[in-house]
This record gives sequence, structure tokens and C-alpha cells, in this order.
Amino acid sequence: MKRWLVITLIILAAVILVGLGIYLRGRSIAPKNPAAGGGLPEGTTRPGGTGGNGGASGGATSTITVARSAAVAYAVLPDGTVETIGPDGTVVVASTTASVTSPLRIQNLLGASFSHDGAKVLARAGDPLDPRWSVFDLKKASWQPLALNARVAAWSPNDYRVAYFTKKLSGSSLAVMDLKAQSPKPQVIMSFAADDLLVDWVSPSRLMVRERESALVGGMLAMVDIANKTIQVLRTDAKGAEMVWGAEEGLLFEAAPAGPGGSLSLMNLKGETTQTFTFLTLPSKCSFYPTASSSQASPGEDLLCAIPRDAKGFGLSQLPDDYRKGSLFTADDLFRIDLVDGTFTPVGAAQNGDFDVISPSIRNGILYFINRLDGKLYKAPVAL
Amino acid sequence: MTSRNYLFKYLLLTVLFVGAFGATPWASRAQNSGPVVLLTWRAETYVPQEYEGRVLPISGSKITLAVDVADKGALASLSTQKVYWYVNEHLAAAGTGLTRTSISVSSRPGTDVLDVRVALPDYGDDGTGAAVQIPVVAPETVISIPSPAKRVGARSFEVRGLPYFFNVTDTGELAFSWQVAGTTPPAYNDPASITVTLPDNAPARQIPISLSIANPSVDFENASQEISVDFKP
Repeated sequence: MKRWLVITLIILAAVILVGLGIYLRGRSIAPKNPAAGGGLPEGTTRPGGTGGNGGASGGATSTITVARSAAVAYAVLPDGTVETIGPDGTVVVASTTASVTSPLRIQNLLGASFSHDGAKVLARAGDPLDPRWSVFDLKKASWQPLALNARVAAWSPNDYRVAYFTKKLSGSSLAVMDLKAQSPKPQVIMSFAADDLLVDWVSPSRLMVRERESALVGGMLAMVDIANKTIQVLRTDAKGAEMVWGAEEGLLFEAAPAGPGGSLSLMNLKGETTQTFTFLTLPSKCSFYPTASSSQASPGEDLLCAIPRDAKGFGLSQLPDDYRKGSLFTADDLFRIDLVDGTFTPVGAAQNGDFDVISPSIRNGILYFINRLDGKLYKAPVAL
Repeated sequence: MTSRNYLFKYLLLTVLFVGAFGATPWASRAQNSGPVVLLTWRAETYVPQEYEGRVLPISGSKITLAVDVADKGALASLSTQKVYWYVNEHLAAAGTGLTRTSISVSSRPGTDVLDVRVALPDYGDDGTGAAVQIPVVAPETVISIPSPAKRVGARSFEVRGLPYFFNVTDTGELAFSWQVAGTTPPAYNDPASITVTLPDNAPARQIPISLSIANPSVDFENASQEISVDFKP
């Protein structure tokens, strides 16, 4: 009798261990879904539009002005100087006292981005399939050609390294080049047979490699460790995947498995989903913003997102395809989203304007964004 | 030791082993569980230069296929591996180290998906492979007006015509045909962009605008779109 009791207890212990393992495994990959505030809370008043001024808390509406009449990319320095590059390839540096336009410009500009500190501009021009690359040094006010032999390139989040895919005879190579060096040389990380991949910086030591997105096809998402030259494939079936990264997390949009619309979630530096959202927008309309209490030791971040006012119409669109093709434009409201408690704080924008916001940011208490409807850079003081 | 004791100890060990295995949530994590085959593809059809999304294939277009294998944190060298490429279960190409190959989409109408599969039968102990479905779409015409509700207040406004996924390399190879409120607009320098100008006394109304884009060198390679612009001066 005693023996059978012991056997029963052992079997029970084994069942508990197995159950614990299943529970732990489920918890480690299940995303956190905030109980409240994951979507727009009911009763949240949108600034501008029909909602009038302000919102549930804070976010005073304020006058919005044009910072530059045409901008492809911009950077705002700590002293409030605004640097922009226009579609005509000219760089303009506007401080509080003066505005200087670079005498030289890049012809047939396709795209541009500023380095983390705004000291350099990386520009892509010419043939989209075989573009020319140049770097503009704002201190020297001069352009230098860059032999990248690449279709895509991205700045490091904290220094002058650039990650890019360079073309090979058969495929492409992922490389990093430090533009701070006197004679920059590429450091090849790994070579692929694939030749149309994109690269984003996840952190100073990691890159995300992915395929170009469409709602109609699944694609690969992979994390690459630069120092160890290793790759971790996260997904091979991510549809319409678009991302923007902060210091600790990335905002991921994925198209719906079937039909229109999609979903948003947060991904940590290990590639794990940590939170899902019920509101819908695109990562290109969002950025990460340091919280009031963040520090170098504890870099907390909130999300700053432009959310289309016509949520229903947006959700019925084929995303991100319709938006990228130029058949869908939106009128947005801006919100700061607390990623800890899920609260939404309206960020004041124009009282009567319609803005299709991309690349939003807040610097020194001023909101900046490019309006896709007219290509202008706008700014407005905000109180958060 | 009696047989009962042996049975007891055997049962104990078995149960503890099963329990220990089940209690390790990391045992079956995908990242450590074997090679991951990356089957990627790129279609060669025309898209506007500002478009950064996936280029999709249409009938008659060329697609380049590629395979990489991520294994134990690295991209494996496949130079000595036999690679077999299948399209709709027909062998399309095969060779040692053949990590890239090109195919042409059939020009027969009605093809809307290509089933592509790659097999590396000698990789590792059991071989490996992957499969994807590539959608074959129709070319598209997008009439682009930068306004959320296609609403304009000015009496003169620009409208852009954007072709997607045609089998051309330049818009100069395409024929554009515009209609604004049922009439052909005046001659324009750039067929991909027209300026609509309304009379000073034009009342608020809906203005239909349509655009047909065709590739004259290929039968039936055309696409149209019609939109309605809400003019409110």
C-alpha cells in the first residue's frame, strides 16, 4: 500500500513538472496584452478635427508652422537647430538666428537620412536599382561620394557606421562601414544568395535583416549580431512587415493573414513579442520617445504615433501596400502612448488641418513631422 | 533484489525522465532545433522610383529565386550541396551549389499563384527544403492625389498616374490615356502627371478622373483606374 502511494506521488510530481514546463513555455512567448489602453480608450478626445482641443490629459493644442517648405529628411540638434534635406538635394541648416543653404546639391535624390547627431547626411541618388551614394558633412559643408555599391543603407543609432547590402555577382553581402575612419573600409558580416534584402539597426550591435514587404507575401525577419557574425531567423512568413526601432524595442506592423488591415506589436531585442495593440497605424508614422524619467541606466521609452482619424477606412485598406503605392493618404491625430500603463495622451497638432504624418519626433518640447500631403516639414510647440 | 524492486526503480526513472524533459521549456525552442531554409525571390517588373515595397510579378515577367540556410547561427555554405528547384511541382532547375536561379512566369492568363519549392536532399542527416507561394498579380494603375478623401479646394490641381508591375523598365515604354469628366485633357508634357484646371465659376461637384496605362508591346498588359475627386472651392 505504501509502495503504491509512493508511486502515485511520483507520477503526480512528474505530471506537475510537465504542466509547469508547458506553462512556462507558453508564458515566455505569449505577448502581453494591456488590459486597458491598448486601443484608443473610449472617450479619448482627438485634438483638432471634431474633437476640439486637448484630450484626456495634457497635450495642449498649439499653432503649427512650416519649418521647411520641402523636406525628405530632417534632424533637430539639442540647441534647436533644424537641418533638412529637400527633394532637390539641397541641405538647409536653420538655427534660431540664421538659415544657411549648402551651395552644392545632389541631383536626382531618391532618399536621405541624417546620422544620430545630425552631423552627416547619407544620400541616395540616380537609378533606384543602382544608386549613387554620397555623404554630406555639415561642418565642412561638403559632399563626398561613397563607394557602397548598394541599394539600401542605414545609419547606426549611435555613431557613424553604416550598414548596407552590397551587390555581388551572385547575391549580396551584408557589410558595415565606419565613416569616421580616414579611409572607410567595408567589414563584411555575411553573404546571402538573396539580393533584395533590407537592413535596419536594432541596436549598436545588432541588425535586422528582412525582405521587402507586401500584404500579399510572407517574408523573412532575422536578427544579425555584428560582432559575432551570427544570424537568428525570427520569422519566414511575416506578411507586409514594417518596423521602427527604439533603444530597447521595435514596433512591428504585420498585414492581416487574409484580407485587409493588419496588427501592431512590440518586439524586444531578442525578437520576442512583448505587447500587442488594438489601434492601427504604420511604423513609418511613429517613433520612440524617451519618458520623463528615463536615464542612461534606465532608458524607458514611450511611443509617439500618428493614428489615422478614419480608423475604419484605414483598416479596410491593403496595408502597407496601398499607403506605399500612393493610393491611400490619411489625416492623422498624434498620440503619445505610455508603454507601461497603456495611456494615450493627445499631442497637439493643427486645429483645422489635415496632416498625413510621417517621421514624427519631439525635440526640446517641439513636435516635428513631415506631411506626406505636401512634403513640408512642420513644427509645433507641445506640452506633455 | 526482487523483480518488484526493479520494476519500481524502472518506473521511477522513467517517470522522472519524462517529467524532466517536459519541464524544460527551452528544449523545443525553434532557434536551436535545426536549419532554417530561407527561400527568397525578386521579380523584375516596373515600379515608380519612390516605391520601396515588394515588387510583384505578372504574367510574362522574370523572377529570380534564391536559397540560404541559417544553421546554428550561421549561413551554411551550399557550394557542394545538390539543389533542386520546382515550380508547380515541375523540376525547373537543378545543380550543385545552385543557390540562385531565374524563372519566367507563364504568359497564360489565369495563373495567379506559383508554387515554388527548393529541396536540398543531402543537407545534414535528412535533407531540407522550403516552399513558398508567389502571387502572380495583374499590372496596376494608381491615380494619386495627395488628399485623404480625394478632396481638393483649388481650381487647379495636379494628378499623378503611377504604373505598377508592368513588364517595362521605363514609363516611356507605356501609353497613358487620361479622361477628366469624360473628356481628354489638353496635351501634356509628362503623361504620368496632368494638371486639372477648372473654370473660375466651377461649382462644387464630383469630378471623375480615369487613367488607362498599357504596354503596347504586350497584348492585354494594361490596367485602368477611375476615381472621383471631391471639388469644394
